[in-house]
Amino acid sequence: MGWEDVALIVLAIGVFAVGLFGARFVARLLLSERSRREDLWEPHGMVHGSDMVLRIALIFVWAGFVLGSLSLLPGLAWAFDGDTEARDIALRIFMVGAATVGFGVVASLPGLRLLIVEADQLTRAGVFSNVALRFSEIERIDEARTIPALLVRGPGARIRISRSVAGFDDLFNRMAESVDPAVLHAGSNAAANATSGGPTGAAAEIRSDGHYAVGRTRLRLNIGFLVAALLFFLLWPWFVIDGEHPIRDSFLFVGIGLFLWLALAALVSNETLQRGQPIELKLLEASIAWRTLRSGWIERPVDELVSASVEPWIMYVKGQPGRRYPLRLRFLGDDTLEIDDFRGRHLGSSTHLLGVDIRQRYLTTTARSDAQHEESRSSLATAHALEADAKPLESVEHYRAAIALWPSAENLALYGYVAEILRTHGETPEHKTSAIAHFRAHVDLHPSDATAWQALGACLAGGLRSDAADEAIATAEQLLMSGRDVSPPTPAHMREN
Amino acid sequence: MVDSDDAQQRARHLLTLRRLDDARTAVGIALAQDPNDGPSLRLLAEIELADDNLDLARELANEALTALPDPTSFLVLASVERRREDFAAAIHACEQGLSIDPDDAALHVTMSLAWSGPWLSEQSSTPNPRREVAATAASKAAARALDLDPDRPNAHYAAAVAQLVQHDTLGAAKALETGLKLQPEWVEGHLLMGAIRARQGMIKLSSRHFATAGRLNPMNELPLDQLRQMRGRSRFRRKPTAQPWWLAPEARAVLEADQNLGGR
Repeated sequence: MGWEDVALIVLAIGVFAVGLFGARFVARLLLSERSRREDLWEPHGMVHGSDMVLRIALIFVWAGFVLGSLSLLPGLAWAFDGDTEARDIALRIFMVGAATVGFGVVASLPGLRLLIVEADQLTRAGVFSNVALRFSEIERIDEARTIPALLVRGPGARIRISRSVAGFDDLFNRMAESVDPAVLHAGSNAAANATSGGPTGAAAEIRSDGHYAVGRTRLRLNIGFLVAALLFFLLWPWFVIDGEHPIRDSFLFVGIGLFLWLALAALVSNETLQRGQPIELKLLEASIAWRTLRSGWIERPVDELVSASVEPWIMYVKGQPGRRYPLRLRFLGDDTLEIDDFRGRHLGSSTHLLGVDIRQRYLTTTARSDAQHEESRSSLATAHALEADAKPLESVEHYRAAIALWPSAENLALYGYVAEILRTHGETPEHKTSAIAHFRAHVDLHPSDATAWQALGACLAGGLRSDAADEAIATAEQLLMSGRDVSPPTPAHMREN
Repeated sequence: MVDSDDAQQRARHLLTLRRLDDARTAVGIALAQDPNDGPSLRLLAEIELADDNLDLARELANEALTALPDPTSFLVLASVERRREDFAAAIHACEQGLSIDPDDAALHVTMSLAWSGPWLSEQSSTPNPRREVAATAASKAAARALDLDPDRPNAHYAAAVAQLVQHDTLGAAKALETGLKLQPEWVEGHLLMGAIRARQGMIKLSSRHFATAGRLNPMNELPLDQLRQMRGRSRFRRKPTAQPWWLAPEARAVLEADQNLGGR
């Protein structure tokens, strides 16, 4: 290996080091600027920002620096040999690199945007201008059709809330607390999607617009798409096999086949309507009914519904976090109905809007009778007795029954209590999962309870990838720092106990 | 001639002001009148403890106990043993004191902290029966102290430390919050809360507690050290991991500050 080779290797390492340190420098500048802006806005309300745009933009910055530093190679040739052609090439490479860095920096500007939930308004604080929308003036909240985001519309203003925003769930709950319930459902096209059939007797009257269904157009499109894809996959050998080159034919058959069958598996899993999730959902007077793609109607009485919460989780693709927001209806006896983000959109709504709709319909005492109230009291008494007998875990199901039977404000405050029992006494992973679900249900109702956010963070913590825990802890920290922490009062029956 | 009681009172004030040499001189006046005076010997032991002369403090505490075997002398001896990290001896001293007065809240607090002491630096959360026993005993002692005197911030502190032994930072934060409500300008409380918040991953809030501790006691370098170490890393990183590894040793150092709290 001659000295030229060594010099080339050193230069190559230098080029990548320049790219890396350049990107790190810009990342520090951008993140410190966002941190400064967050500090600036924190006294006004709860601040939410998204990392995703910054992360994508920083890839361009990194690539730009690497490209720019590649100009060192012809640049050195010009410096040592006086080669003017090398100088021109160096200049061109440098300009392209600088332009890419510039593009990355400009593309990162939306990443500096912040959303602030203030006492009476939602503010989007951009780099150059701010947009504010009073909660009382919000006219519609829609699910964006093309990208995962919510569109909040008001007179002369429109704010898009990307789902990649940290603490999106908390942001939505705070907004939902202040916005007129009619506005929350104005954007839903549930009625347009509705199909006929199913349980509709006199005792099971459909309430105003509580009917969500996957649209027929959507179903036909999916079926057509799948049939076309299947035909292509079955017929593809005829496109590649000519019979004259058996070795090449078998190589193509196996090689392309592997790729295509994997692609087909991915397509089927994405495009088919997953089993277990409803393609039609009816919110009836005294029950919730749904049917899945291959099942008849399933019906659960509303006094078995314990919680209806979006339970976000973070999946990681190549180390980058991606957020999913499935809605889970939790019934007594550990039965759960899950509706994921995609199904929420297929149903003409979103999991957050659906969750609010179900909570507002069923998790109030107006949907219950006096007999159920009595039963709830009895369940509470049993739960208290079991707790007094040092059987806290056995009391959980009775507390849950008390909530489902009579979801008054006092009983709904039991979500946090049940979650704390599961957190402190739980022994199995299922207990931990259940604790997380109950804390979620609690913070849906009391988003300013910093203690619950901390407990949620503690339950979610563990493992190397703890972004979900970090988000919960960050919310608690904001609440504690700003003095906006409000713990719900302990229910009277718990104080007596 | 200065009365022995006056000299003791003066020495105690000087000890509170941390003018230790003047305090020694004052207590020397009392001891000159009666070299075997139990309260004076005990006070001198406290002064030596404050000055970090642990062997001498222990000797004096034992002499005080020989002269006057009362719960307060046992408390001083237990505090010295705790500082010497002889936690078994500290627990034994507390038990002896409690056999005389079972309702002494300060002794229960010291015993709780002594039970927690050996386990504070253990980061592993794998089940350990010995730790469980220690944590239960520490929680019980702290709960008893709170029953006896709910307005004693030290008791909340001990309860928080017992929760930390069980790796329950949320429980620790809740316990200490109550203590800080009772005594908002409490240096040790803010130091421990700073460490707890740091363990929870709340770097900004943790900085605020360390800054408050530094403001309340500008002579104490510990909060400033904490802040210096945190600033460089938290500046560009908004979301730290749940348990920042670089803070764990410092958090342990802050937890050791609880040794100042044993006395009345």
